[in-house]
Amino acid sequence: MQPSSDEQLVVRLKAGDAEAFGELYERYRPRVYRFAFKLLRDGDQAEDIVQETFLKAQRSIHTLHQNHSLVSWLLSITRNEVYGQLRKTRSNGQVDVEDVWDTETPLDEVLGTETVVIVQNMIAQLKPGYREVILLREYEHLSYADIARVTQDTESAVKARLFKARKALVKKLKPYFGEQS
Amino acid sequence: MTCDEYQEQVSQYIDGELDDKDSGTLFRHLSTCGECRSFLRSTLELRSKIHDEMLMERELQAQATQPSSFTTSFTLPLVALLVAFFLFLGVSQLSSPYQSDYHEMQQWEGQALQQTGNSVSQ
Repeated sequence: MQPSSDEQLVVRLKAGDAEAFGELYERYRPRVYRFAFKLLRDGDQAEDIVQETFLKAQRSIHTLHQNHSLVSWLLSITRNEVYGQLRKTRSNGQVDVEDVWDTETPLDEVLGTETVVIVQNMIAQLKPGYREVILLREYEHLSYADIARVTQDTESAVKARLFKARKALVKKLKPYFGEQS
Repeated sequence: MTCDEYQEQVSQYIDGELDDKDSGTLFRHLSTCGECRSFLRSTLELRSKIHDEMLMERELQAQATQPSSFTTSFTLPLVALLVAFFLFLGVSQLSSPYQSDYHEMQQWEGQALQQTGNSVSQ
């Protein structure tokens, strides 16, 4: 059997097709987990977020508008769950903070020697508000419009946050990059 | 425009979110500004490292879903051996009617020779 396109899947989901929920889970579980894990940096919490995201998705599938992409809708549920978790466990789950770096993980704590690992660690040390835009753009390849939908922000705010996060990362990572003139 | 504003455009440019007119203005600036050129290179390098990391992740996931090398190296020869064994059994069973004919023929030949020998001696 041919796999359904996202549009076909949404139609089936809205009709309450239980098989379609299984397909949704299989198709998007890895992306939902990766987003949650990279925001939370905790595998167990990320697993809980995955379960909660798909349960919420099932309950609220009727809220998905026709012109919204399925993945950005799912990731916006994931993000809400992650921020709920961050508010419970951390003091700085807010996005409207000026500093790009997360003070709860010391910057000197760069593990690994490979540049790829260093980049991964540096991204993990961004504040959640900056980390999420990098994850949604670089890992999920969402457009600015979709990122704005996920983060419930304006496109210009997304643009500015992405730039700020990249500038901070580039500044920290420059010594590890092969510099050409 | 300041270099900071041009660098914000670099960020939009690499995301494909800068229109042609602004891209033209940006490239005119990049041709004269080493600092902004360096920002473009570093941002592209950052993207390439993230891409490498994603490839590594995919490889690890693929390895995790495949059977381990021990299982592969142990089970494949075992399966091959079993297949060979059953093939051999099958061939043996197929060839057994001919073998019984051969034995019968040998017995018949022996008896015939014996009879011939008896008649010669008589």
